[in-house]
Amino acid sequence: MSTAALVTIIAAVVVVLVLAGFLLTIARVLAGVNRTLGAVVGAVGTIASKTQPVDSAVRSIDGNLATAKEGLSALLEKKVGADAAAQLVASVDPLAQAPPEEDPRSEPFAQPSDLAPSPPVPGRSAPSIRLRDDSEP
Amino acid sequence: MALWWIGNVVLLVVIAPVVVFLLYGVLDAARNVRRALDDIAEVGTMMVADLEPVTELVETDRYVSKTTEGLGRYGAALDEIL
Repeated sequence: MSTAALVTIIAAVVVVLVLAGFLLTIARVLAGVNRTLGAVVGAVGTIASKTQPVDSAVRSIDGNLATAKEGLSALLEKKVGADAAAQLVASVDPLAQAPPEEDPRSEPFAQPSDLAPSPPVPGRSAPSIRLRDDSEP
Repeated sequence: MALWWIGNVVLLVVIAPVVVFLLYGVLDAARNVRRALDDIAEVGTMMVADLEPVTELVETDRYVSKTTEGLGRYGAALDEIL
């Protein structure tokens, strides 16, 4: 066998060994990727199942609170009249007193205990509102 | 014979380094994918922990419903009292 043939065989063996080494390493890394993907898919499934009732629950809460607000607003308007009811609501609602150019949604969320008591509107505080008598014409 | 030697030199000097370079690129990309996936898995695990209280929304809904009923009765009573 000539020297050239021997060199060719040795070079081919070296190339094959290098290829095999890299491919084995890549396969090991991809196996790790596969395992991690399994964990990610499991976590995503858990997230999906945990957030599944959010839509219906929030819509239900929203509907219940809207019903309560409408009922209380109707009662208030019935007792003190629409204008006085609006003033009363404005005097106790901190969001209603915010300047119009400010977007209340951009404010950081404040816990109810953090909200300072609303200052009374001069001359329009709640005790000054006279209840309307249902017997009045 | 001269051509054979030229082929050997090309194999050792050109083809083998190119193969190593390309394989190293694939290996590096696979390692980057694995690192990114590890980060995603870590964040996903934290998100699952953060979502634990979400199931309590159903209980909150029940409480709000009961509160709304109570408010209705309270409003009706106020309507009669005032």
